[in-house]
Amino acid sequence: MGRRIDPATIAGWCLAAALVLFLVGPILTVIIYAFAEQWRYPNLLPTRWGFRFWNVMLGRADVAEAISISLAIAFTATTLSALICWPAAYAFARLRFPGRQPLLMAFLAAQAFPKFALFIAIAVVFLRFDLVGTFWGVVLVQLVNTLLFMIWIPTAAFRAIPPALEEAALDLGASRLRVFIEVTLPQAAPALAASYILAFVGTLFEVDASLLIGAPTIRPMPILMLSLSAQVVVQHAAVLCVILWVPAFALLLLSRRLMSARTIASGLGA
Amino acid sequence: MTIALGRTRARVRARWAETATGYALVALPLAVLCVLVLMPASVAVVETVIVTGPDGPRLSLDHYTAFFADPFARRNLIYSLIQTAASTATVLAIALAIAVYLRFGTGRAVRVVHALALFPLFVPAIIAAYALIRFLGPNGLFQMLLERVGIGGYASPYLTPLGPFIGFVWEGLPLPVLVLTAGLAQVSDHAIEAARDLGAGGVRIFREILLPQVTRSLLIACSLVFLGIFGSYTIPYMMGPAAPEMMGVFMQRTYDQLQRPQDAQVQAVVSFLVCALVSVAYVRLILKERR
Amino acid sequence: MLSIRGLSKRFGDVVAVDATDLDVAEGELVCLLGPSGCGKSTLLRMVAGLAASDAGTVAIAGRDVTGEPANRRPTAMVFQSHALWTHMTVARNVAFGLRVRRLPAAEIERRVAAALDLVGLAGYGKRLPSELSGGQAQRVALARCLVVEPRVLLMDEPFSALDAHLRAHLREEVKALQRRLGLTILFVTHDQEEAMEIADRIAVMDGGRLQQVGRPGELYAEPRTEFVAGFVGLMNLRPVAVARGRADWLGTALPTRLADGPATAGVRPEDLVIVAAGGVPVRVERVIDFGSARRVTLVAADGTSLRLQTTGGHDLAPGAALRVVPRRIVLYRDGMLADTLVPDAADIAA
Repeated sequence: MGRRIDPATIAGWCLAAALVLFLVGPILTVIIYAFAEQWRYPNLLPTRWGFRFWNVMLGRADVAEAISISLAIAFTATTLSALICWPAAYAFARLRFPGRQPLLMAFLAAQAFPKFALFIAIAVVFLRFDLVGTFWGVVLVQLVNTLLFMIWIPTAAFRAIPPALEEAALDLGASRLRVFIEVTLPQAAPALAASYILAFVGTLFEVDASLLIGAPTIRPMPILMLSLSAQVVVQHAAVLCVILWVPAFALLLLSRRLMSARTIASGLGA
Repeated sequence: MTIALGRTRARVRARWAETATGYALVALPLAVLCVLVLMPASVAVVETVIVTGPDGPRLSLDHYTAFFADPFARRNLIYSLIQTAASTATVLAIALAIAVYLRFGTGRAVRVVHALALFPLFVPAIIAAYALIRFLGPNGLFQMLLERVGIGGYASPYLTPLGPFIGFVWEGLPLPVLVLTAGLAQVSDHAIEAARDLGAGGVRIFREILLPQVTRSLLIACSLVFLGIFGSYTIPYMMGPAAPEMMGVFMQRTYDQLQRPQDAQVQAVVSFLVCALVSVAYVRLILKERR
Repeated sequence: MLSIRGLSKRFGDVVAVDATDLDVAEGELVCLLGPSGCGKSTLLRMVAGLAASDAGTVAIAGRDVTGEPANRRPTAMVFQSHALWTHMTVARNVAFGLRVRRLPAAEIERRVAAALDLVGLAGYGKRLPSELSGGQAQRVALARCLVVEPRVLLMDEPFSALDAHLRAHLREEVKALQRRLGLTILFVTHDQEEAMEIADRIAVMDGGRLQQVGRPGELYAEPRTEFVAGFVGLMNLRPVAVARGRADWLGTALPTRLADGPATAGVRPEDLVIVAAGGVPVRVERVIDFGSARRVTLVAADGTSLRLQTTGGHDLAPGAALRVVPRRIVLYRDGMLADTLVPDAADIAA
């Protein structure tokens, strides 16, 4: 018996094929490049495979330094952001005070500017305070990028906890602090972790602000990547790409597991 | 009654304590917002409308007339707007098509397409831009693939306006797909079947039943994508032509290479104003729902 | 055990609970019964300390706890949604109150096991709440409260999210546990059948006020307000006019001690009696046969709909013409019980 072929199914697979070519093709190219010692035109695959460029890149002092400075910036900025934003998110979700909703909305402001123009405005102000080219200057500007995510996603998470869960614990004799630590926090933990990862990875790969505020002394990974990408030897940048992307991809997949796509979108107000 | 009065006083005190705690907890991020977003933006506006002449500082639009008198700056601005509008429209059209397919398609292809469409979410812009250059650039893998199947004369989009366009579509795709898929999921099969039952065609169902459900999400996604593209730097810098430039690249060059931060400030404020319409629309759309 | 005096609560201009007095004796199960929004849940939450009262006092076991927060009151509450902590196992959920009380680990383990056994879930300790059915989850919530041996157990519509069959079953279990352990329970529900079945006494609430407190049978037999008459059990309620010492019930003038003016008359379906002659002429509209009894919807000449319940063998086909007389009528004026009429044959003939 012949199977009926559904035109919609064919269209679907065609769409999938187009997306593979357009979306996955480029990343695949870079991954192949990272393991190519020689790739002569017009061969579809490298003419010689190998790890030569990995040894080169992993041995370079500027790469090691860029990675460590990047991690330091991302860790500092994200942790700082969590420390100031998560308590605020709890207040937005659970406490009643006048102007609560307008203040929560105010955090959209960071999203409503064309980003690079905003960074220029920040950079000009930072110039006067000698913050340009300093570690803390970059950390501060990265804080701006994390603000919305770190407030809105946790606020939504705290709000989603049914009040009865906390009331039940209170009713059984637990103190407010104990209720927060044993009930509220664990309930919100996945969303908090996800917001942390999103902010962390976002900061790790942020180019625009780091370039403006960090230059010329602070050179995190993406900035190094930017300068390598203009060089003749393709493999240097390709190897760095793979080094950077694989952990980022894993982390982002993890954050995706921790919260729904819908939550990610709602973090932007969409 | 004295007991009741005392208790009322205690409750007023408790309410005050809650308010004070609330403000204390939100104070720090609000301060960050004010100092790092609102303040620099205001400073940029204020400083660019004050010109110091021989007789002291005065209010003037000289900086802005100078910006708009410069044909190079004007060209960059217009190019940025066209590039942004075209990319945004394309992203949304593709995202809408994918979202509709995801809503009505069946079988395994749906899951594969869904995962693929969200894939760029997991790739930082810098890596995406570099990967696209290697893939689509001259003598890149795409050209070699085309030549394998006998298509010659490939003109690489790299360093042409088409380059950033492709980059924007690539990076911009997941968000509207996410938003639209969620919106379309709210339309029940029954609602669509009922409409079909009453004789509505595909186009009419789309226009009158599906589209109204996602209008708000679509507009929010639209403004986010627009602002994201207009305010971008990495993709146009890496993939775009040297001239005309998009505003991000233009501003960076003015600020860094030309060492003229104040001119960069003027360009930034012009960008704010050009985007203001979209920014206001974005904020209002979100406020509308929360009421 | 629980003593509520003049307890009040307003939300803005709305009076949610209005100067309410209520006592629950040790080992007694009192139901707060009323429609949604009547203030019964607010009253319960004020007893728990989860809502602040505006005036009045709450005393538990002779101690005034009015000013105390929820975590210092000797109460425990079972919520409508089971409110189990999804990140803890069943055992850890149940142990929570004991851990708060800093009991030794061995003691906690023993009491948790005993509590789970009590609700029929022995051996379920290692499961997560997500692996339980709705009924099981609610039993764990009950165990979580029982294990701390509260002086007063509060239950806020605990079974309303469950299906009817399971609801009835759990009701039985709670009643049995309450009898066996001598629990003092304040139980909120909007379901009068549930209240009738489970309660030692029922407190009917409406508009923030206690309408009547009494044993289930008492409420049915002697509804003291028009609201209780209409809310507890079936009652044929209709406005009547009182003139010169007689109330005009569908053309039958019945002697009453009420002064002239409007009133509301109520007749229970089983107090309508079919007679051969005299009485009020009606037509049968619909018959529901329960087997043990039949409930008949009747229509009077002026279109008034009446419900009658009978166990007799009358021929009751829809459309049939009958004559009925009320055996007992309660009269309400301004919502309050004003007179009870037990008419004799002479009254009806007139």
